[in-house]
Amino acid sequence: MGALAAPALLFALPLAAALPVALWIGVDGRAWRALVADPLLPRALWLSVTIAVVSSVLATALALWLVTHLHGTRSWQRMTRAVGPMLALPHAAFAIGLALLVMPAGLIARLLAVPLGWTVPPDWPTVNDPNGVGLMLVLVAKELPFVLWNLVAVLARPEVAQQLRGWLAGGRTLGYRDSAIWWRVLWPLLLPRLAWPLLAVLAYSLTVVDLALIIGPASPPTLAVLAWQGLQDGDPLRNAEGAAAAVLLAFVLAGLVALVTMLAIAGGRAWRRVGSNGVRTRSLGERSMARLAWWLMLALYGTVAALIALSSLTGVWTFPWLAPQSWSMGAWAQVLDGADTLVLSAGLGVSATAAALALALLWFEATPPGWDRRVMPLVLAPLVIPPLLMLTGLYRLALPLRLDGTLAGLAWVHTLAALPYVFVALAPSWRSFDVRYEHTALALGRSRAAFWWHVKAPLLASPMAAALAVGFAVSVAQYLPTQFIGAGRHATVTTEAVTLASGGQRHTAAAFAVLQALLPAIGFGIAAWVAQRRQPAHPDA
Amino acid sequence: MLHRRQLLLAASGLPLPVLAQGSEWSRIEAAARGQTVYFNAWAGSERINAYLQWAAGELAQRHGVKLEHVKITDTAEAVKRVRTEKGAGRSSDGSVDLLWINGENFLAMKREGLLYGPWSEKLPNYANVDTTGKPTTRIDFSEPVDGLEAPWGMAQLTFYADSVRVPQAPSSFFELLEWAKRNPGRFTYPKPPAFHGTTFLKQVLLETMPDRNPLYAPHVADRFEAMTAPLWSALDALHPHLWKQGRQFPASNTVMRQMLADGELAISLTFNPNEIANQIAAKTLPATVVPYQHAAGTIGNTHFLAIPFNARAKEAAQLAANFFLSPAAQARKADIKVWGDPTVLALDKLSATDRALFTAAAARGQLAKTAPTLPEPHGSWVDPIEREWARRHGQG
Amino acid sequence: MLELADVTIRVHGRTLVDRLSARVAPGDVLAVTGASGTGKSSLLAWIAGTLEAPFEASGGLVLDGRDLTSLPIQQRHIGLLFQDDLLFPHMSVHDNLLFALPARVASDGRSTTATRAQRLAAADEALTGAGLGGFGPRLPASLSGGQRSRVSLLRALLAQPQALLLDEPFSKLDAALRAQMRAFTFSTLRGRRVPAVLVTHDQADIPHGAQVVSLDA
Repeated sequence: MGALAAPALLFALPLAAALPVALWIGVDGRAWRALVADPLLPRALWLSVTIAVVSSVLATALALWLVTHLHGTRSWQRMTRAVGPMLALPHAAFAIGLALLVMPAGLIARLLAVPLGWTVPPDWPTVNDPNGVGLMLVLVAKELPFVLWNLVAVLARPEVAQQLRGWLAGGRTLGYRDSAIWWRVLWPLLLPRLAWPLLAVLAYSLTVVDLALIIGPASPPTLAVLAWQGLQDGDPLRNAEGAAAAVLLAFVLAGLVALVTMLAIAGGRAWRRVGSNGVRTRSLGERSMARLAWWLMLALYGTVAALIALSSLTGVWTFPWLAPQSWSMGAWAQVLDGADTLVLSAGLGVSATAAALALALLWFEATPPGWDRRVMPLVLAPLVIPPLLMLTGLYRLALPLRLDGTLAGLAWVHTLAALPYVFVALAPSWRSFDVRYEHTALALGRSRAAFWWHVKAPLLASPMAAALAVGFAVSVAQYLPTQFIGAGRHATVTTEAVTLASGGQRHTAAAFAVLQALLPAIGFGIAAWVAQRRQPAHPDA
Repeated sequence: MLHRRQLLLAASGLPLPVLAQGSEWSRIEAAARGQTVYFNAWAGSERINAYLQWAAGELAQRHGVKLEHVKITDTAEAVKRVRTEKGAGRSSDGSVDLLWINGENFLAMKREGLLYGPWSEKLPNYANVDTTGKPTTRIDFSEPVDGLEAPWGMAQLTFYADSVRVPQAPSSFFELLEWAKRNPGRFTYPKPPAFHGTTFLKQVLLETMPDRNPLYAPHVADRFEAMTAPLWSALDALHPHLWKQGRQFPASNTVMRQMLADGELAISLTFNPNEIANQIAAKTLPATVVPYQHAAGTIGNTHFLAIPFNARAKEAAQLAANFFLSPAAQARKADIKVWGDPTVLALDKLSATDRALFTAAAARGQLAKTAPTLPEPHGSWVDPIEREWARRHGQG
Repeated sequence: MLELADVTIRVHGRTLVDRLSARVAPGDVLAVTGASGTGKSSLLAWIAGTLEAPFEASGGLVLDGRDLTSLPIQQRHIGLLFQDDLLFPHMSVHDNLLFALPARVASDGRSTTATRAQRLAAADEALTGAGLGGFGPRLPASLSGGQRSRVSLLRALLAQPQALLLDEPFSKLDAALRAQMRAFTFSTLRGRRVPAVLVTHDQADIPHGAQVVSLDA
């Protein structure tokens, strides 16, 4: 247990303390009165709730619909393999690229301009629009692969897969189509297992700041951005107002979760009644629609990636031309000028993921078995508690330690951000590692260190490499922690991309978006190479 | 005889202050070495950022001073930070060393005692500043500078239009209004309090006010409604024909420039008359874009560098300011290929070699005809105008 | 000589093993039988030192005069064999064997650090003796089930254990192989004079002359 003292002090305790500290700051009478008096609040609140609910519901419904119609078909394998790379494209880069697609002078408008004879861009409310349509589009497109990935993981579990086959077979004999079996029987059974990922989706769409800055409503902004603006302000009252807004956000999230849970329970009952109404429906050709929808999704991702790469190289590109009128390396020249942002991003990423891995390993190896389950909620908490709230608390903790604005503080907060993901990535392999290997090695008279070095680590090299890649990607994509703890003094690839995109410097923003996407891709590439090099593990008897 | 003695005394007296100044400056130079200057400056343009990176390299190499460009979206943020630090009793070790500033922000800082100085007129390179030909180098928004800030560059509100879409550019606000009625949705202005937006409001006010004199005196609250009525009715007439019918405004002039490059807008505005040539050369604006100014004159001013009272690196900040006033730095800044920001120096005060640095090659997109410079209203008018605009048009 | 004294194992209030005492002489086998869930594997785990909560155990364990009750697994010198061969899949047969071989060999009564060549020679000797000569560089995945079982036994024995525990070691092998492995295992153990505890639910696994303890209530 002594081995856990340092990590507990550096990570577990601050994480646990951050929330109470933030609540303490945010619960200030004057701040709340100022917040309530803010004329922007009602609309910001309304925007946040509608955007979060609509995008989460749409993303989930689409994911369920896709799985229902494509599970077990030839496309299924391809789909499950494509989800990984889709997830690897960072959110900010995706938002920048999607804006290039759907904005009034974007690619879609240009494609329509030729047949419709437009000479000026149409008045489309797609980017920075007052209703948040642009933000909703990005959220749905980005959350869909995440929900799919979780669905695939659940369905791949052996006990679930087996039961699935049984139920599908049974339902078919009763005369139901596959999709009917899914909607009536399987989803009501499986959805409760997805509670945590779906909660994470809702929490993210409610509290996201960097995407809202790039493509979300400008004025009034979402509640999360409102809180962020307050927290950045030098004026103490405005600052407290921002903290109060962050606390309000957390309460809104809790309220939404309670609401959704109640609706799910009530809705579940009604669903089961409908589900057992005995009606056998005929197929409407939804499978081909689902396949088409999936191809569209892939095409969307491909187009977005191509657009950011293209935009970083173009000069003038007036509507309605489909090809740029001039090319320019100006954006990349700027990026090279600011090469220290790239170095910082990469450096932070490597140190954060390495530290997170070390902590996770320490945890897995040194914890008494019972504690493992009990601590999981604490580790996963950062994924569902609004980051604004956590960071307010962490910043307040960092101030007396003089960590604000320092590289050490940045590394610390990035490690905290990467930790839950590294944990989740490693836990399955660790838990399923046959403990008898260890017993055998020890019984042979070797030390635990020898066992770890010669046997366990090599056998788990692939999952560790994957976990490192995930932690690296998470660190590269961080926006709020860098801005908060870095006190605005340090620029990473992501903060530059967001600032430039919201400031109208499109081409340079696109160049940074390309970098933001490349860095994790390199990490995942290395992980894949490591996985290939390892010999296949001894098959379990 | 008295004459000669007086002359001798005067002659012997002259070098003394100069010598004293010289040794003071060497002390500052020596103290500055190794210091880091946190230069809080608006970061809305790649050209400015790139220029500052060059300056940082020069300062590091020549004087051992590290210049850190702290990118801010609005000068008011930095002002608030200094104000907060003063309120918290932090009278040294401040987080801001050098600040890019003018107008109402300077006024606020001067009035609240947030500035260090006077220092600017003691800089060696200050001698070359064109204080006679460019009076705004000593009077900032009708407020005397008093050596509390060093002039850095000149600015004048300039419109620009894509000549393909706008064959005949409007040369006054009323012509602009008529044009907007015929071409709805092709013009807008940045959302105040972004300073380009606020400047547009001031320009409209100056063009629509029958008598401008009250604007050059400190703001008077009970006459505000009456004075500014022409502005609000002008905006009410304009807004329905703006981009998105005036329900939404772009965040900055950089966003507007991108929209013009895309074709979404046909007319935009900037504060740097040379910016269009600069952007055309950088291939971020089409070559058909033409800058112009309203015939009767547009607002112009000087922008400055100031040092907060609690700056940690005061010597290095002064050294940096002096460097920014040097002919080499001013010439590079005025170079259209780099930034194009007009110089504050008087070219006839410079040596022939230094003057040669400023020869401008003719570039595509240069301002064909300059209009008179209208002085800025008094800084105290800015806040009330911004607040009233927010009250009337700020929601949504 | 392996001695168990009054061994009691309980879990969740249920008693699995009640005051079991036994003595296993070098080369002898103690067979523990019983239906599934009666605690056979727990008993082995206790002897090996791998028994963990929620199991509770008490009793004395002495091996060649040493009291083992408070020693960790790696200091007990007790070998473990499971139904799965548990050869380390990423290491060759040689490496698996070398992993078990002590770094020091005793020769001429003094202990010196063996060279890799010496250790490889010892490993090869063991392989040849088991009819697996030349299999050293191969990976476990390329061996048959029976070959892997033999390597696993060799590996356990190369560590020079003072006792060996076998947890249903033959149950994954087919009938013909089983007979072969049984014979090979117990003759080797007899030859090396290593006391063994065998857990099985197949009576045929029990060699002649073995002590039998049944855990069935």
